[in-house]
Amino acid sequence: MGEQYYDTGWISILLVLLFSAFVLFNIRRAIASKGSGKEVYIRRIAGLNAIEEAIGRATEMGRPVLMVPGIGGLNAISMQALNIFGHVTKTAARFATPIRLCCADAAVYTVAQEIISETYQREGLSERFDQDSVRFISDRQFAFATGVSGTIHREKVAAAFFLGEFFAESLIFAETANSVGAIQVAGSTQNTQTPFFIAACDYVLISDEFYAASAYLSRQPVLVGSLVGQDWIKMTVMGMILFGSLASTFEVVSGLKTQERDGTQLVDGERKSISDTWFYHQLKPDAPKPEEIPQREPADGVTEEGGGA
Amino acid sequence: MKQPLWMEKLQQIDRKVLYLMLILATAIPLFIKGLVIPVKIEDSTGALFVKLNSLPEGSVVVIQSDWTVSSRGESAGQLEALLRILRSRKSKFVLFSAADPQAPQVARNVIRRVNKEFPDGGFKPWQDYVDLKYFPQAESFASSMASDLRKAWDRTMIDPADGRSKSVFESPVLKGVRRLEDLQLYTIVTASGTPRIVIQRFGSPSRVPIAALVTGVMGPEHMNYFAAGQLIGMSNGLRGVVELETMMVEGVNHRVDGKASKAEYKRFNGSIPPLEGAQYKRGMQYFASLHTALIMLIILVILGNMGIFTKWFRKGDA
Amino acid sequence: MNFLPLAQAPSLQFFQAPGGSQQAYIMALSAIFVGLLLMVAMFNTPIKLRRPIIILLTFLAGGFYVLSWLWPLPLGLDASQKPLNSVEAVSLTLQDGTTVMGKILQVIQGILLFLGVYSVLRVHAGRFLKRQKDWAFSLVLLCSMMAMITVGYGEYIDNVRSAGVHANAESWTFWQYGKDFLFDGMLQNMDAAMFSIIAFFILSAAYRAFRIRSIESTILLASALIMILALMGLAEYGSGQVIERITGGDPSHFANNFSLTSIRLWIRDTLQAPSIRALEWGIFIGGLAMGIRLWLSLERSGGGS
Repeated sequence: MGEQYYDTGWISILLVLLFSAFVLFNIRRAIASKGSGKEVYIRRIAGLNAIEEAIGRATEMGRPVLMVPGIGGLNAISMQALNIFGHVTKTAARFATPIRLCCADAAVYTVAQEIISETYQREGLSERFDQDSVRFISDRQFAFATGVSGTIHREKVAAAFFLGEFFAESLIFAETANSVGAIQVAGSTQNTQTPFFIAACDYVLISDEFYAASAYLSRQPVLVGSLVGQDWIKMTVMGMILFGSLASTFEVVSGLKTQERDGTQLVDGERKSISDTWFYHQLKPDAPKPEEIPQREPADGVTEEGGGA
Repeated sequence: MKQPLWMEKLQQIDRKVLYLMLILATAIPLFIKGLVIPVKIEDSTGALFVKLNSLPEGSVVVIQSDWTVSSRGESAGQLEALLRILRSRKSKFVLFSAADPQAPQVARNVIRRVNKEFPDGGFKPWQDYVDLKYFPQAESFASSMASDLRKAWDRTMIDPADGRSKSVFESPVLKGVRRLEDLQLYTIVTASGTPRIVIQRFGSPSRVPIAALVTGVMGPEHMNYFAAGQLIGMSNGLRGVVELETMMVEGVNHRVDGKASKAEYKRFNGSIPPLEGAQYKRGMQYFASLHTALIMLIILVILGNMGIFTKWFRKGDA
Repeated sequence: MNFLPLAQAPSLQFFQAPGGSQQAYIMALSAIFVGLLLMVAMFNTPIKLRRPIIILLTFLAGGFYVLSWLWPLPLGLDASQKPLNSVEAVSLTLQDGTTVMGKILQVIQGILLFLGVYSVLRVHAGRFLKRQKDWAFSLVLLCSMMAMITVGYGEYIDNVRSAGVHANAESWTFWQYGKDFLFDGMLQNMDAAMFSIIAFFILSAAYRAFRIRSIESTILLASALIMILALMGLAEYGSGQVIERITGGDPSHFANNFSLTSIRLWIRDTLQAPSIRALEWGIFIGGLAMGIRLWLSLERSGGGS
């Protein structure tokens, strides 16, 4: 039974549990200290400060504010995007600025309808809520991209918020919005798309700034506590990296013989990406020892097997 | 000091003009045939090619094809190159997609196209490959493969011999396959982040070597997995296709008459001869377009900064 | 003693009726009836009770996935093998459960898609009927949608009835040609066309963004130019030749550090890869915290407090 934990990597399960505990502990701490006057400092996030400016501009110009929660399904990412859009809508509702929320997933669309209409209700401005302002476009990636681009062009949006899971369509949105002169705030959990947003948007939320946004905007103790927990996790990870670097340095300095892992087998090699050290076997007791590794046989046409990657 | 008018114009070229220039820059090289551009072999592509060329005859390889026509420029070349190498190794393969319902059909079209190159008709369904079509929910599907391959691949296919629908595990391809260890290589041709899901769910070290053939945009992210040894090899974008084609045509570290090889992979101590009948194909055809487009990009960036450059020079004069 | 069920398919599959059979129709109608009953019950539940019910359901549904991730997984199980012990049996039950949960999710997605389609119809039919600005686009959309639905469904029914007779193009009927024209001929190519637009946008965005405004932007521009140059096989090859002339082929020569390949690899491995790793960490940690908050219903959505 135990060895199955080795197969699935018990160390990762242990870490996730520890990290979860950090988050929950800090949420509890933040709730307990609510009202004690000890405000947690959250550094300035320019993109979020620009929300009011962007909506104000849209109001002046009499044009709508566009929000897109990415093309992913209903998950933590799209929920976080909708949370931020709740805040955007709150401000827009007060200014009576029209909004457009375009969805690529039917489940996200349903939840978005609820959140947006609830936001208007909470502000006591239900009459300003237009049911068609939250729209399902298409669940096909480029059909959605076309639909959103069309909306941007036709309605000449004054501000655009692209927050969530974006893929290849990110630049299509950002450039189209740029061409109509909209202020853009963007953030993607897909790191590959962040450079495109940086090139074309006014403000970009990078990496976990996206997750910090709702804490920054609402200062709810649960969210702020969670943010502190995330910082604890980061510090733990930094400690682990430092420890790993030192261990690796020690390995090199002490001249330990290392071997390279090529798929499922160990072969002699110069690189030390995964080493066959004492530490390695503590974390992976099931990993085959060098002497247990069968000699690889060269295949036809391959005259000599060297150190692969 | 005010800039001359022409310089201001250079910094504000209308985007329609830029688009027209790009169309010309990418289209014109497509009409020039037989162009061969030298390329240095990346470690990741070299490792992939060496691994593919060490596959024993009759080995079973997985091709998870997670791309659609939108990334055809890169991914079609990747899949074509992969199929050609597998054919030269007389390998069999299992095809499916875990990312997009449109993907299996697109991959089938590529197989049909590559098959035409072989006098014997190339890969035959059921005999040389099985098509498992599309599996939704990539995460749970990958877990399921790690745990019980037979349950995960519980599909049927028509046996051309008797026209009856049978379990794919009765096919010559999967007859001896019971678990991941029975597969020689797991390749993922993708335009998205699906290799990460497979790496996560198969555990580390994986019980089957995993290789990824990704688009240029996804390359940097996946390079981390190659550096960590979780991917045994990787082909990165159009350049990856060109590298694979170069190695197929020139061999790896293969010297002719004592001359240095045109495809050197320094981490590999051995040498691989060119593949029989290999030619430069789609990758090299598009590579010239990539060059002209990138040259245009560099020129435009320089033009965009002309005003700043002249300001610097004027300050220097003063 | 093993009290836990083995992951064997039961001989009587209650939930799997043959498609089109009377049993399937009865089951579908029963499911709709039970669903409606549940909906009515939920509407009549006091508002104070609704939230705890939703919290409990969220916890149970999320808990299932958490448990299936935490529970040890038997690896490389053979089809003929039975679970060794209760730990393996639970794991397999959880895995089978994941498939069932996945199917439930697909059904929910299907129902929600109706709402999505309804939204599309309402927005565009409204615009067309009221002859609002750009109503012609809405008409094109509605017509395309209807054509795709009709041809797609017609082709599906035709294929089911003819049991794969239309595999070859020679035996195609109107439906196969229609599907080929709309799906392979138009949709796929329009998809590709939209994707290729990115190339144009990259060009215009780069032309606009890569300006030397500050030290940071200069560094960004310089590294971008190096990476762009290195993408070109010819430039990299040329730079390699120049450096080789300088070094005379000596691999330990200092000038080797200045080849395009060396600089590119240094940027990629020393700057880019660690940055990506750090950003990924940030995202995963944020996602974990968000996941926990959603699972335990710790936060209210939409900026409420």
